[in-house]
Amino acid sequence: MDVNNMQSTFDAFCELIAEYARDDGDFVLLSTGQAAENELLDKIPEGKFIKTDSSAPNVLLRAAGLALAGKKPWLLGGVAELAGGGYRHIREAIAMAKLPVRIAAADGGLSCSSAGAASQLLCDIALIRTIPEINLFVPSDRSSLKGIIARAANSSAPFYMRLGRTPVSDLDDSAGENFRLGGARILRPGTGVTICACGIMVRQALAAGEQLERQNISAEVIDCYCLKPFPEQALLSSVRKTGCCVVAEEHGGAGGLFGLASECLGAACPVPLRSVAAPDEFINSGTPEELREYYGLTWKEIVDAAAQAWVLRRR
Amino acid sequence: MVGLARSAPFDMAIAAANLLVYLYWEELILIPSEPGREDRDRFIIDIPSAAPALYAVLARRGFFEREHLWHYRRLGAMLPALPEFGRTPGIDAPSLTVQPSAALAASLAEELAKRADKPRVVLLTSERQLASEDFIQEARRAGGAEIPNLLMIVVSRGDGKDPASASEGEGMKMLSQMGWSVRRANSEDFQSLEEGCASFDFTAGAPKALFVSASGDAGLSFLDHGQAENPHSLSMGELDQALEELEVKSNGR
Repeated sequence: MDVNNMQSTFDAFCELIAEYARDDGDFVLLSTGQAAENELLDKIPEGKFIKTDSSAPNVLLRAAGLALAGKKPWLLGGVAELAGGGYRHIREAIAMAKLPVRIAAADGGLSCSSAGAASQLLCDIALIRTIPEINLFVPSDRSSLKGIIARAANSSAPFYMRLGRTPVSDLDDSAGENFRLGGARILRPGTGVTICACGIMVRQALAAGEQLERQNISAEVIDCYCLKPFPEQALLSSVRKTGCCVVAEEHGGAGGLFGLASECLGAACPVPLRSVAAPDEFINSGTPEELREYYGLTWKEIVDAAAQAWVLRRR
Repeated sequence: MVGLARSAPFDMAIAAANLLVYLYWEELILIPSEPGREDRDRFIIDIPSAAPALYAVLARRGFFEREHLWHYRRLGAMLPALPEFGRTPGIDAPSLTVQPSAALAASLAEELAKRADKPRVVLLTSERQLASEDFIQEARRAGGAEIPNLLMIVVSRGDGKDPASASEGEGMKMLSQMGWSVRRANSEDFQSLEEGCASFDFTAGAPKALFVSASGDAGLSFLDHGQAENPHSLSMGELDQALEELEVKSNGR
């Protein structure tokens, strides 16, 4: 890991999108709310960046209008406003019409937890993934984000991606990775247990993999950056090798990555499966680090869950 | 078609019919055989219950075969309860149930206004929508912008009085104060609609709003007995009666 180049996926998005703005004639970025404030966005050429204080539903509709006019709009705002307040607008105005609107939702996971439960939406993946036609991504670092942006920029389908505020370093193995729809990347090969993670939890999964190695359990860590379409083959081929699985996500336990993995494995390859996710309750206020510790979203819980699943697997 | 589909309410569809006929035959610039032309005017419907009238007009105008009307709302049909963008020919934008489409229409018009031919965007909405907070926010933004090719037609139920209701008067005043060019017309009177539209300059200035009162009187006897205020699907008896009365009315023209 390159510890000298720490950057949150939100900051990385703002920097990368400014580069794309210069080259794409149909580019336009709409931003709404305080969650989308970032000075890196000032580099976007005039006329291609619309900063607005309109409500998230109105901004979603404006993005749909721009897409109908032939533009390829990007939309940046807070998770709670866009996925929560704008759920039906995303569904009716964007996904049903299959419009090429790319939604980048900042403050994903526990990023905005100091603002309390009302500002925190830990079920955005569950909400968005139930909307047909939309593609869903959760990048874990700048390099995966770069691949996802490139994929989204050349697509005519609607996209939703969740961005976090926690600074993270790039993962070494991602260099030259070909990011694609329905893709995942294996960051650590192994044969004892599959750890499937997304977003900030990928790093925790890698740390857990190192700990498990000391216990003679070989963990295979999968960065599931694309949640919809779900990379079924990557998960199935790993689980057929390891015989058990742990899912780690900064999300409520219902309907997120664990839900996707459960549905996939339950139908095609039932194996012992454990979840490391936020509890089914409204989240307290605190720093993201405090809350991850408090709610058990660390490598320690992943190690515990992996050990349980590993013991239960068929020999 | 609404009778066979047993859908209700249908009073708004009847109320909007005359207006849609005027728009699709006299006002909108479009070629049915080329529904994807870039220079066509765009039409957005914000009154879900008026969809049957829009379908009938689109079929008559040649966007699709009239046979499809008999399959309205049926499984696998091209004409679902709400017009679907990309599925039904002639539908230029998604129809929303969640809130007024003002933001979508204004944004589309704003972008199209940058083109040399400035295609218009016509949004058909009801005065009921004007009270929405999201609508007011977007109407204020659009009123302060240069969107000359946006025409919002606000339908209110009335008998042609000016204004048709207190809320219509308030709506006209509100949009006028926000910078919109506001006019009024009667949907039963094509000349008044024509004069209203002709008075706008769609090449420059603020967005336009045309308040249109529509009585919704199709000449159906059972609608004149308060049934329109009590939405229900047509019984087979009412369906037969409606078809008979409409045929007599049609032959009389």
